[in-house]
Parts: sequence; C-alpha cells; structure tokens
Amino acid sequence: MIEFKNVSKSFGSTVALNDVSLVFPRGKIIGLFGPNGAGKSTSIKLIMGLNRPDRGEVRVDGENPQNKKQDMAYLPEIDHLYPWMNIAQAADFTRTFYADWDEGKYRELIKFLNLQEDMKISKISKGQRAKTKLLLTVSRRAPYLLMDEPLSGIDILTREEIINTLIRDFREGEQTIIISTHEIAEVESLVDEVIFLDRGKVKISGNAEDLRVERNMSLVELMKEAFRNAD
Amino acid sequence: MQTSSLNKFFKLYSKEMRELRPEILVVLIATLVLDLFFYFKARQFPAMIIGPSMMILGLAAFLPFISSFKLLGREWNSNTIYLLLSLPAKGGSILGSKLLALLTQYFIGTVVVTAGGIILAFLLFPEPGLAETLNQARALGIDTRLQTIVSSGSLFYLMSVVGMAYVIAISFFSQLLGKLVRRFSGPVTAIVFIATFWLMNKLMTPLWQQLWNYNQLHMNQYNFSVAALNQLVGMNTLIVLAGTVIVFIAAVLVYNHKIEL
Repeated sequence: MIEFKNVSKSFGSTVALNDVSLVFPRGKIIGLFGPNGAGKSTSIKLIMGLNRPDRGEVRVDGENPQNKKQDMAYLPEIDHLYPWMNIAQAADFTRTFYADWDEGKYRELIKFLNLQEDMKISKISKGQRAKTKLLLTVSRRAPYLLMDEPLSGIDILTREEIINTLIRDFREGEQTIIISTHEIAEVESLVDEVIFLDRGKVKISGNAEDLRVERNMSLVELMKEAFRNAD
Repeated sequence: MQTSSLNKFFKLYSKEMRELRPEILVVLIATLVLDLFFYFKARQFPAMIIGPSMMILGLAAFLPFISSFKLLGREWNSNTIYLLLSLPAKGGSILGSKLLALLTQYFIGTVVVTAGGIILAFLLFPEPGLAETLNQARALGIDTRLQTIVSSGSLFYLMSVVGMAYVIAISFFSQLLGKLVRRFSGPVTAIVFIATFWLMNKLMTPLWQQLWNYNQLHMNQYNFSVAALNQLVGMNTLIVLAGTVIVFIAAVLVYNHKIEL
C-alpha cells in the first residue's frame, strides 16, 4: 500500500502538491487523472523516490520510497534510456538490477510488441521507444508499476498495443499499477480506482465503477464536469 | 535471480566505459599517429618527439577531468538521470563506477602515451645516448638501478592517479551542488568547484607543511636520498587520498539525500 500523509511539494513558487493525503490500495489499477500541472507526475516521482516532500511523508508498504526502489517499475513520460544502447543491451542493463526480471515474459513481449533486440534506441520511432520502455517495465514482476503519461504522443495503434499489454499482464491482487494521464478515455476501461488531481489538491477519488454509477456518467464526463466547475 | 552488488557495480562501470570510448580512442589514435610519424618521417630529429609526446601526455592526463563533467552532466542533459535515480543503487555505486571509469581512462591514456614514448626512444635514440645519460646521472650520485626507477616512478604515478581522483571528486561534488539549483547551475558549479578546491587546500596545507618540515630533516640539496623522496611522495599521496575520500563522501551524501528531479 502507498500512503501520502499531508504531503506538500513546491518547485520554487509553483505548488505541485498541497497538503495531500491519499491511499493507493494494493492490487488494483489506479488512474491518476487531471489536467497539465495538476501534480500527477510529482505524485509518481514522490512514490518513486525521485522527489522528496517538503512537508508530510510518503510511505510505500510503511517504508521510505528510497528503500523500495527494487519493488517499483517506473515508466516516465520522457525518454530515459541510453540512446547508444540497443534493446538487448537496455534489457541486459535492467535485468542486472532487478531480481524480479522475467526473461520468459520479456521474450514473449518483444514478439507481441513487434520489437527486435538489435534495434538501437536512438534510431527507432517515438512509438517504438514507448513500446521499448513498456517492454522493460512490464518484463519485471514488480509489485508496483508506475506509469507517467504512457500514452502521450503515441499513435492510436501503439496506444492499443500498450493497453492490451497492460491488460494481458496485470496480476490482480498481486500487482498495483498507477497510471498518470490526462487521456482518460483510453484507460477508462482499465482502472479500478481513480484519483482526480487539480492544482495540487485531490478533487475526486474513489472506486471507478461506484463513481460512474453514483454520478451516472463516464470518467471522461466526470472529469470534464469537475474541471469545468473548478474555481 | 538476485544479482550481486559487484555485478551491479560492474554493469554501471561497463556503461561508463562505453560512454568514455570516444575520448579514449582520440588519445590512442593521436599517440599511434604521432609515434608512427616520428618513426617513419622524422628519424633524423629524434629529440623533437619530446614536445608533441608531452602534449599528448598532457591531453591524456587532462581529458578525464573534462570527461568527468560530461559523464555526470550528460545524465541530466539526456534525461538518463531518471533511469539512474530509479535504480536500486546508491550514490556510492553510481559515482564510484563513474570515478573508476575516469581513472581507467586516465590509466589507459597515460600508460599508452608513456609506453609509446619509451619504445620510440629506444628505437630512435642512438644507443650511446641513453647509456651516457644514465652514466651522468650515476656520476651525480643518483641511483639508476631499474628497481629504483620503477619503484620511484610507480610512486609518482600513483600520486598522479590519486591527484586525478581528487579533482574528479571535486568535479562531482560541485556538479551535484550545481544541480540543486534550478537556475545558474553552471556558475554555481564553477564557484563550488573553486571554493571546494580552496577549502580543501586550506585543510591540507598544515599537513603538507608538517610533511615538508619532516622531510627537510632527512633530505636537502647536499643529501639527496631516493628513499626519503619516495617517503615524501608516499605521504603526500596519502594526504591527497584522505582529501579525495572526504570530498567523494560529501558528493555521495548529496546524491543520496539531496538530488531530485
């Protein structure tokens, strides 16, 4: 379980998170939604230990995120792989650091995603790079999978492949997936729990199905309404 | 399968060596071209090789310092710092692997240039020339036995390696402090580099002074002793090594506790 206790984080004069208290339940797919600048990426980075809260605390299974990095698979929005590596070298590099690397899954996924091991990171398309990042993240049997805007700037066919990969490999009850995105329509069918963030505050949170039934609208409509009425 | 810490370190080290490959190749190619040029085209002026060889040796010795800025700075410029910081590896391994790779670069460069120079000297200089030089040195009371030359040379070389580690550690420390500010990262790095260098020299000066005073008792212009010189170099190396350890630990602490994205 991941817990935020009164977490605040600012970058200079920009407030990214403002006294946020949250619980990300274990074994679910959680959508972290909100417009640009809502605090989604900062939340993911805080969980990953890439940022530290100014106030409050973040706990992953009761521990400091810095000590839980081996349990977390992280897919950032930006291209973070060494450009001179090919896919095989990037996989070899990743596999060295994680005991939960699943070689069989990696072999299976590389075919499923239509990638080749000798493809050089700097030479492949944006969509292929997105799929490579996904391949390296999902090839691990990590308890936590943190994805920051995994669909951003990706064509519709690649998006479908990414979502299908996530559905295919999700281990319910065992694995927690947190997807931060503002493209809710694409992942609406995927998420169990949702958290809507706006300017560093939690606007709405709860079970996705309950919210849909309760408000009689889709998550996309819910977000539109919530942010249209935002002060 | 659980990988050992040593394997993880070696993987990081291999990655850094791959990043340094262009600089290492530049020194190797420059040495090869220069040595071949002198061997085939300038045999009649063998003494002329000293100047260009020293320049390439200077390049080989100086490049790792320049590369230290590239090696760490590029992680931010190419966003690979996201990958590095998300790894279950602490600053000691991350910065240690970079330091070791830069020292390997220094070792390869300086050894290849020196070895090339020595081989060329034996091939180009007329035989009596070297023998005469050694005789003159012997006449001045200098111990020219191979064993002495190797042991003193090794100590001097070790001192230069530790000196390189020292400036690299300061480079890492200043770059990391520079990364803590969102604006003017470059100027902050430069200021911290100079300030750390100055501060560390202030801290080490009393030790150097003590060492110098002690050495004066055992060696002066009328009483030259290789053993005393080796002792001076060895002690100086230890002082610089202590300074290196202090700055490196400070850099690791900054990396582990302060660096954010």
